[in-house]
Amino acid sequence: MKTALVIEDNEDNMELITFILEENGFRTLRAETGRKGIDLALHARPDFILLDIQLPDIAGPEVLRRIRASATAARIPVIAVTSHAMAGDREKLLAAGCDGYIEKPIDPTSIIAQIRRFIGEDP
Amino acid sequence: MIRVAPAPNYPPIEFFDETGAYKGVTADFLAIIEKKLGVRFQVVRLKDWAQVLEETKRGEADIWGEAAKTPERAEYMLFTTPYIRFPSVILTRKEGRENLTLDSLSGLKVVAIAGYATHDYLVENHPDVELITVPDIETGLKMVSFGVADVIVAGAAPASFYIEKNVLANLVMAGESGYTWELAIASRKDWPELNMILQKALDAIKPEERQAIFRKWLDLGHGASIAGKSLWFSILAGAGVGGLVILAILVWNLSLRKLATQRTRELNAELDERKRAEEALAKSEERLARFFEASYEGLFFHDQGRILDVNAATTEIFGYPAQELIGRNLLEFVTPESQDDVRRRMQAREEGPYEIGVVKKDGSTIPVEVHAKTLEHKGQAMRVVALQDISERRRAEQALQESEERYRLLVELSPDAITVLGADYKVLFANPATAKLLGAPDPGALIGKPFFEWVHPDDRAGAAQRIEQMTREKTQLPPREYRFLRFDGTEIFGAVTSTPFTYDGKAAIQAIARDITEHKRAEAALQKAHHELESKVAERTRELREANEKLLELDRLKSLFIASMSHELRTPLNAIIGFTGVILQGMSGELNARQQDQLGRVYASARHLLALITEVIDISKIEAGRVDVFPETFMLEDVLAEAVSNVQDALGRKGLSLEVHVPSGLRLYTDRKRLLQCILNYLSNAVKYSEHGTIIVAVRDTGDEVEVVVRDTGIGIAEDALPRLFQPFERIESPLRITNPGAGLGLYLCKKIATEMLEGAVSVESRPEVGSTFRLRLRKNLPPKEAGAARQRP
Repeated sequence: MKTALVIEDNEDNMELITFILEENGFRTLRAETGRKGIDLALHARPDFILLDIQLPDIAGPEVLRRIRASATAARIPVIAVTSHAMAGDREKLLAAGCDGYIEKPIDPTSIIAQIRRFIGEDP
Repeated sequence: MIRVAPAPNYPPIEFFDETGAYKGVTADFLAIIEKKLGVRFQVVRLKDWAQVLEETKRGEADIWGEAAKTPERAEYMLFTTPYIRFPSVILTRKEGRENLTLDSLSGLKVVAIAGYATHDYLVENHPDVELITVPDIETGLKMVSFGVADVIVAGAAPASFYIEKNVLANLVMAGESGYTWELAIASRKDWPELNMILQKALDAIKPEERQAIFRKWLDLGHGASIAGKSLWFSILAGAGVGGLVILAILVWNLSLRKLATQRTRELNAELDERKRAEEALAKSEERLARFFEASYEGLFFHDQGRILDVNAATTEIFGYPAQELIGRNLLEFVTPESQDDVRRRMQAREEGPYEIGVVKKDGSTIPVEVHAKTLEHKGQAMRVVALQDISERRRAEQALQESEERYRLLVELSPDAITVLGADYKVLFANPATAKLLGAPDPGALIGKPFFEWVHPDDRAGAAQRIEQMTREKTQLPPREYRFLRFDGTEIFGAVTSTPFTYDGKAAIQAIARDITEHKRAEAALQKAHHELESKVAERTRELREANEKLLELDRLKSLFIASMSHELRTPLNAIIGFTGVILQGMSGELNARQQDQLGRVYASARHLLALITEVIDISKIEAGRVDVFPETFMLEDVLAEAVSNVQDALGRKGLSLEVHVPSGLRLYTDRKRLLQCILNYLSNAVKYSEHGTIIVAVRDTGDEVEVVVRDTGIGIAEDALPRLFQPFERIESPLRITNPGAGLGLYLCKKIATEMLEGAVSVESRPEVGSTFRLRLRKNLPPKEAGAARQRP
């Protein structure tokens, strides 16, 4: 059973994503702030991370940068979750080292397939 | 004492000589009578015969030594029997007239001597002749000789005397008047005894004494001329009456013989003298002739009007060759207006200069200036005349006059004030416009006054300085404005141009002034308007700047609004869609059919709302120029595949088929996401509005651009609705509208993206009930994005 770290400040979204993941057999770790997300990423060693780009304390790309800069979590796949398309987000995130990119609203029928593809687990 | 009044100038009959002594035939007769009677006559010398008659009538004289008896004289004088007889003859110039009688003189200018019997006779019997009355015979003879008169009727004896004396060689006897002078001694009628005594004394004079007297006075010696000769014949003929014929013939023969011997002697001496003189003369004449010919002035000689010689310049002036001039009378070449003038001046021997009109051979008339001089040549009067054609001078004078007139008119009529200032700036001249400018009653009111009286005190020093400078440098300075004070005290502005020049030989200033008060007023008004406009513009600029700042603030707020809308609206909607999706999937437990259907409606509505919000935000961003273009390299076939996959479910549900024709490996460099958005929009519309048939997606490569064509077999669009298709919030009425919700922003957004982000265009063709074809044209390769900066619409 793989563990997903979900970094998301919106409670509804957190509930939705963790529900879908758990329903599909993943273990979930929850972080409501960027700081806590980084902390968990470095110490809890999740198998992959779902990172909301718009966070209240540390912006998503910065969180990603710190994770990638760390010795322990640098190789953990990170999938960015973003509200619709602030233009250029996709490019910025991929350039910053994201492994994948999921757009809100989350589609429960396709999200798990997308995640599996990004973390290298063929569905 | 008995007073005798002789005719003072009636030689050889009676006259006073140079010493004032009383001489002549009659004088000698009276001397004999004095002796015979033992009395002495007192001689009263009077001016002329007319005065003799007058004084006698007044009782100032008692006796006339000789006089012809006339009825008029017989009223106050008694006459003895005649003792001198000679004919009255008609004399004229050589040219032409012959066999004249008193009855053939009509129309001619006839000279007669005042108070003489012939004069009275002509007045009485020939009123048709033009009678010229002269005081004595000598004057009369000269007048005829000089061409002033045509004929003279005079006694043969005195006439011959004067002809000899004056060498009037051109006079001839042209006929006899038929009147014979019969001269007798006359005495006062109120003293009849005197007449009787005189008659007796006269009768007592012996024939020998009479012959001696006549011989003495009628023998004129060597001077006798041809004219004289013919007169002598007539005198002889006249003398024949009363037994004097023999006497006269005797006298004639005597004089002729004497003349012959004397002339021979004189001629010999003269010949020697002439030879010497001629040699000297030849040289002198040659020089003179050269000078004469070479002169630029017209020179010619004439004798009593008859042209003797002319030089080349004269032929040019008259326009006739020399041979057509010489021998003719100069009056023939003078204009009718000048005729009398020329005659008079010729007679008076005027030297000029005077102007006459000359008629040239070609008939034209020219003004000629004449200088003339009378030369005595071999005792003959000859005139030398210098001519100058003054047409050019006249023309120049006229041109000058016209030019002056033009200038005067210009100055008089000029709307500009023209003023001439002399020393101390006193007005020498002012035209009417000057008076008008200054409000003077007339220009005369300005003359002589210092001009600065009407210049504003503040401007006087400047004006004076300028005038000084101009006078010193002799240049003209550019126009300058001055204030003038008019007669009524008002102030006006004048633009003044002045020039130093010479007026009446003295340095002066000509000033031309124009009233520019109105102009200045208008200028000031314009200036004011200009200032007002400028301040208005400044005001408006300030307002605009403020408005602009407000707009910028609004724009900033709008951007903020868009950004927050994007986030704040989506977040709850994402939760709704997410959870509804999870529930619909049955992940939260089984749903019954009704729940499934109703929740499906919530889900669809939420999706639609999200799409709507997304479109509104996209359009807002594009319109605000706040959307960035992110070009990347990709394969067109991949984008089409992604779009198709999005509508795959819908196609299946509706039973529509789809064909995609796209060249493989077509690589683009543009905004992938926006292109996908457009294609998806076209494709979903095609699916939405088609109930059957095949949707075709085709790609055409046109070099720099590609065209994506989406063709459906749907309901189509009415032609009149086509133009509105790409407008915002336009949804075409159709039966499918209800079942296909939408805000009507999709195609508008496509058009915005195509034109403003992809450098392309959209278009549509459609036929109702047949289907529509939507096209999207775009540039294959957008310009590379600048490093670090997002591409932004200007």
